[in-house]
Amino acid sequence: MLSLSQYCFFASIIAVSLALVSYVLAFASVRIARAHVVLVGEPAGADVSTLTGAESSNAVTFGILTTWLALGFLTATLLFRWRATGHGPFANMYEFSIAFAWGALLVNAYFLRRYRQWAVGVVVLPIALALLLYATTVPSEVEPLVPALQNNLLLTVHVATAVIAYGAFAVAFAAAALYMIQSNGPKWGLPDRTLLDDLSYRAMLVGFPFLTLTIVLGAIWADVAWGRYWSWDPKESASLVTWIVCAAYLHARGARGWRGKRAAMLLMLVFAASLFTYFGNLFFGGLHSYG
Amino acid sequence: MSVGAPAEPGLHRHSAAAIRRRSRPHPGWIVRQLTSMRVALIMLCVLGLMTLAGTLLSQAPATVTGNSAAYTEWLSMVRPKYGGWTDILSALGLFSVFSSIFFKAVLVYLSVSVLTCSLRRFSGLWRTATQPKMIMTAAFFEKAPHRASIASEKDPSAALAALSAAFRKDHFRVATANDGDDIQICADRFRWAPFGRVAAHVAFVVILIGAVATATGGFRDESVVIPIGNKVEVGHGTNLAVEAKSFTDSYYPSGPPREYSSRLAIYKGGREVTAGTDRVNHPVRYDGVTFYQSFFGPAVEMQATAGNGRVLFKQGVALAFVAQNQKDRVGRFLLPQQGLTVFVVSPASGETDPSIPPGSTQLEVYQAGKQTPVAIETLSQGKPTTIAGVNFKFVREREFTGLIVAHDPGATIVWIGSALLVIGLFTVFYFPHRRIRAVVRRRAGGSEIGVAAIERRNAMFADHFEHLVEDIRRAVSGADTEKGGTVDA
Repeated sequence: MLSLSQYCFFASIIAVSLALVSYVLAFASVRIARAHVVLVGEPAGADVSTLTGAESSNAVTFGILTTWLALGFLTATLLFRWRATGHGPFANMYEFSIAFAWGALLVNAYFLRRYRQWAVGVVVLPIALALLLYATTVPSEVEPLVPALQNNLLLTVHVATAVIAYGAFAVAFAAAALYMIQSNGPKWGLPDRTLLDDLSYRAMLVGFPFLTLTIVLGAIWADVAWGRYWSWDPKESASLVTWIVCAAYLHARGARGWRGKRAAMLLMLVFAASLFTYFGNLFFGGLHSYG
Repeated sequence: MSVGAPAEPGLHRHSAAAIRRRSRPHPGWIVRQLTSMRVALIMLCVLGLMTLAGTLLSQAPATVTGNSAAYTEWLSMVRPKYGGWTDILSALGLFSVFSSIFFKAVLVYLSVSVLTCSLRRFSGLWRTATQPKMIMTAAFFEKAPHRASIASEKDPSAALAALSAAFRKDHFRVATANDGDDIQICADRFRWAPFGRVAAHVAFVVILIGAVATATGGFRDESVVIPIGNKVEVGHGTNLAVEAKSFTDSYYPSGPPREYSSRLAIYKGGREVTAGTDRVNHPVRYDGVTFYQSFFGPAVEMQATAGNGRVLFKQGVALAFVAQNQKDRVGRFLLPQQGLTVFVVSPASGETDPSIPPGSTQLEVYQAGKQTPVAIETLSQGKPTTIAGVNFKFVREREFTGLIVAHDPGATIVWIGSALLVIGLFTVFYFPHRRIRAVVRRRAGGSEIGVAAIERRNAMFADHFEHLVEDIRRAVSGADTEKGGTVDA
């Protein structure tokens, strides 16, 4: 099972890389097409921005397919490892990194279906690839669980909700980044800014309840394992920082009407905070200090 | 002219009013600040920055923050890490962020603000849910970002029936009203979902109340050490005692502990009321008191008898402390009637101490108030030794179990608040209130249906609206349709 998990893991790295290359090629074709339009003159009714739609080119179609394939391989990676270890594959940085990449691809796939904006993947896929490559640098051996982690249900749901939340923040970040690239006006045939602003907001609406659930489940687990639902452990505090920034974004947008650039900057802060939470245990130790 | 009489009466009145404003804030101003989203956002940012500081910087444990000597010692421990910044950070209170008055003040402000805003919004949400506006004006229709006009050959009542069926199929509630010759329709679903927002905000306050109850009520003993076979009182007015009947531990081949657990018996008023196996992640609970398995270690069973044979002490002594040489473990027991304090020293697991051979332990016996020991003796197992008129015997080696014993009256409140928060957020974000208005008008040869919604900048709703319009079009059957803009205007 572990071997199968490893094969699927490497297959997912290849699939993510192929998807990324396809998207980059599609982008290049969009830019070439735009240059061509500028050179020969824009025909009546032509809208180069539509080239970023799902139906634009074979490269995009291949990119979308390989994105789904990567998600499938990562799902299989986690399931095989789960079967092999007997617990949710979320117990060390190797497993957590793969799970984080899986969360990013899962939420990306959801929004790809709903919004049909593959261009968001141009930012999400490098994030997923970086996480997968990082996973290749940390020990992948199955270590036995220390007694504090021997809570299969809470280990699984606490971390599963976390990776969905982080995945949603990665997608929100991706949309915000594409927005920021176009903050002074449409560029490179990227998706419409209003659409990106909406997509990033919807991704936050997915992520914020899951982050809240992660923190609550963590508190429940801390209460039974450590005898206290909140200890101001660095990872707990870092997750609270992320939660507060999310809350600030939602209130700024909902009640103060923050849209566009200011909202995008806050979303980038949310993703930075979630990365800080994710890697925090490596730097700050505390009760979450497992490798 | 009286002293201080103003040269310009108007100016005087103006100044006095200004002074009054400065000295006594108007209640309206206070309410505005409490309900101001701008102020609340600033406070959220302050809270986030303080929490970030508390995450990045070492935080002094609660046990040292109230004790200046202990705090000074703690500062000396972190000084190598922070160097010249240590005293500055300490003066700014950044080593105890979460217990600082500023942190608490921000939380109190946010709590009051959240409650005030929730109260103010409640009636509006209630009206929206229970008394929807029924009349869609022509201007509303024209400005709606999502709208469609559908022609039908059905007469208005049949068209209304088909339209209503299409809405209900998509789980919308349908309300109708006659407006002259027109039939106005208001369809909505998840109308109670916006109350999830109120629940989530109230939950924030409930959780903080729970945290206050945790901090101010109950008790928490971090290291209750019980040698196996011994019983200790829980105290704190609980009338409870806990006995460690046995202890088991197992290890993975690579060394780390696989599991460790204690068999506990809980007594109330001297009578055993419950028993259970206490493991990490599976604490034993009784009468609101929770016994968490926390740590374990070696112990020795000692016996002390007086010269007349009376047993003064016969219990396990937990070797819960590490000696200065870092090799030995140390435990202690008292003989109050004899005024003796007895330290028991044994090598830690895997360590050797030439002065304490295997199968023996060492006693250091002190008279009360004396700094130098009466005697330091090494005892072999089972062989008694007399020190200061007391006969000591090292009976056998044992283990001790270390528990956290806590009664937390705030935890239940926190769980209620957490449930409210999670349910509230998932409700409001995953089941958003949707409202669509429609009007059915009679026209020659049938009727005309206008459908509109004002959900802005929401591509997912645009998809939903388009599908719904398609359903309606099919429901009113075979008619020509003319659709307006359906995506964000």
